[in-house]
Amino acid sequence: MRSAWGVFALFIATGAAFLIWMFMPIQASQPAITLTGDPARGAYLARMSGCIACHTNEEKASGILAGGAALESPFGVFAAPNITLSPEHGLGRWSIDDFATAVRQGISPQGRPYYPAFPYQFYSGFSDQDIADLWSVLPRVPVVDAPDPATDIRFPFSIRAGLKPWQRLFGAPVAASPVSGQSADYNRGRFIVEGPAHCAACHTPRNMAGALKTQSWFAGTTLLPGGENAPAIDARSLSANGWTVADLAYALQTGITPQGDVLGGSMAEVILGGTQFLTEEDRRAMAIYLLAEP
Amino acid sequence: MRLITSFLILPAILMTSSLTLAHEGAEGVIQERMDLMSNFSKSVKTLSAMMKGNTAYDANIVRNEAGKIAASSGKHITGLFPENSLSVESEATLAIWKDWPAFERYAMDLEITAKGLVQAADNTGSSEAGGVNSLLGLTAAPGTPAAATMPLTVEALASMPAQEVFGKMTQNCSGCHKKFRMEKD
Repeated sequence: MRSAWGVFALFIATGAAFLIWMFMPIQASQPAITLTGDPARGAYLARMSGCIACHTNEEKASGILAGGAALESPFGVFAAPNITLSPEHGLGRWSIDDFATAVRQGISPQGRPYYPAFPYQFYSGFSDQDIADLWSVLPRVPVVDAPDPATDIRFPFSIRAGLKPWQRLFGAPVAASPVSGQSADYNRGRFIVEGPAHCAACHTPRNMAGALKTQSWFAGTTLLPGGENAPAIDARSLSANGWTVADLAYALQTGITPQGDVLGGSMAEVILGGTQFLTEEDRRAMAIYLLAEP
Repeated sequence: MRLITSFLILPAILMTSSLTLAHEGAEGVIQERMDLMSNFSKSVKTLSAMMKGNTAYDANIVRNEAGKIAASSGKHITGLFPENSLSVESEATLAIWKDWPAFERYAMDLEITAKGLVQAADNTGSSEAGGVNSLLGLTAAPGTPAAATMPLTVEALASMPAQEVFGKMTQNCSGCHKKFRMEKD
């Protein structure tokens, strides 16, 4: 009898621990940001990070950062929301600290976790200055008072409660910090590739839960939204396919491959909306890092 | 995940194979346009080597290669895409016929930019970009909505640096591939 009570108590305790784990706020509190942002630096970082590419629907020409095109995934249809300073539909009522928590931790001002379609895992290394720079860009962007583009997230993924455990289990920041003993170019490239440019978001396969398979970093995937393929971009595969630093840097600028093909698919969006705006040095640094054998 | 993929892929295979059956005669056209695209890539390979500085810049070669592209773009391209002409080898997508005017625009713009490059071949030098507004796409930076709303003309392109015209031409390739080509590898 006593052991039955023990089992029951253990059951209750486990349940309670699980509920706490599930519903406890996950955001880490951060000191308030008081820095002044540089809009030019912020706009550059926004290009590098894919903010503009993903939150802008180029085809509909609905406005810069006013909401992106639909992204069809095995979990349903996602679309990046309106992040202009519209008070009703955008970030008009946010503080810079709300913005910092959203970008670096993937949590809304209401404390709700975002879906990993928003690649905050790659932005966690942004400094307070980076956040202030990005924030200072928004007042320069015309406000669009239009609701977010429609999403259609499939059951059971539509239950947001599942996202907290997801963040705890799989939402760890992606490492992009410098490696000692490596060149400045390598480390700059590493910061861009593993951080803001979030190459792994598409070029690393994901498990059933949508989490990145860290063992297969940059191994490529055939399961991109919309049924696209993302080729392997680990150093060995790139070298085996004949890519050089100069070729890669040039492809990130123009989309042109060494064979004279012009890349399409979502890589075209990455290049047209992102990497074409980077400096030669940054594109070269990305190529140097990608082609460096681990 | 594998199950989901097979659900996605199976209907696609069934659909493409039935389309192939429905368009028995299309093989010639498909082969022809695949050859056309690979000829484009040969020209782009030659041109990009020069634009990158891997080979010496030669305005005559630029005129020649751009001229070849111009001569087989526009109506030449659209003529090789009869409705729903797909096969297993083809990388074209059905979106082409769902949004034919956009596809046609890309084909015509290729002709315009290639003709522009023929005329701009002697304009060496590079263009400069920068500033917050151009980074944000609030001015006509290439490939942005502001640029998309500006009609291209051969005359306007003729006075721009060749480097920039080449960029506009290949961005047109990229835009079309993004919308209408299946990325198979």
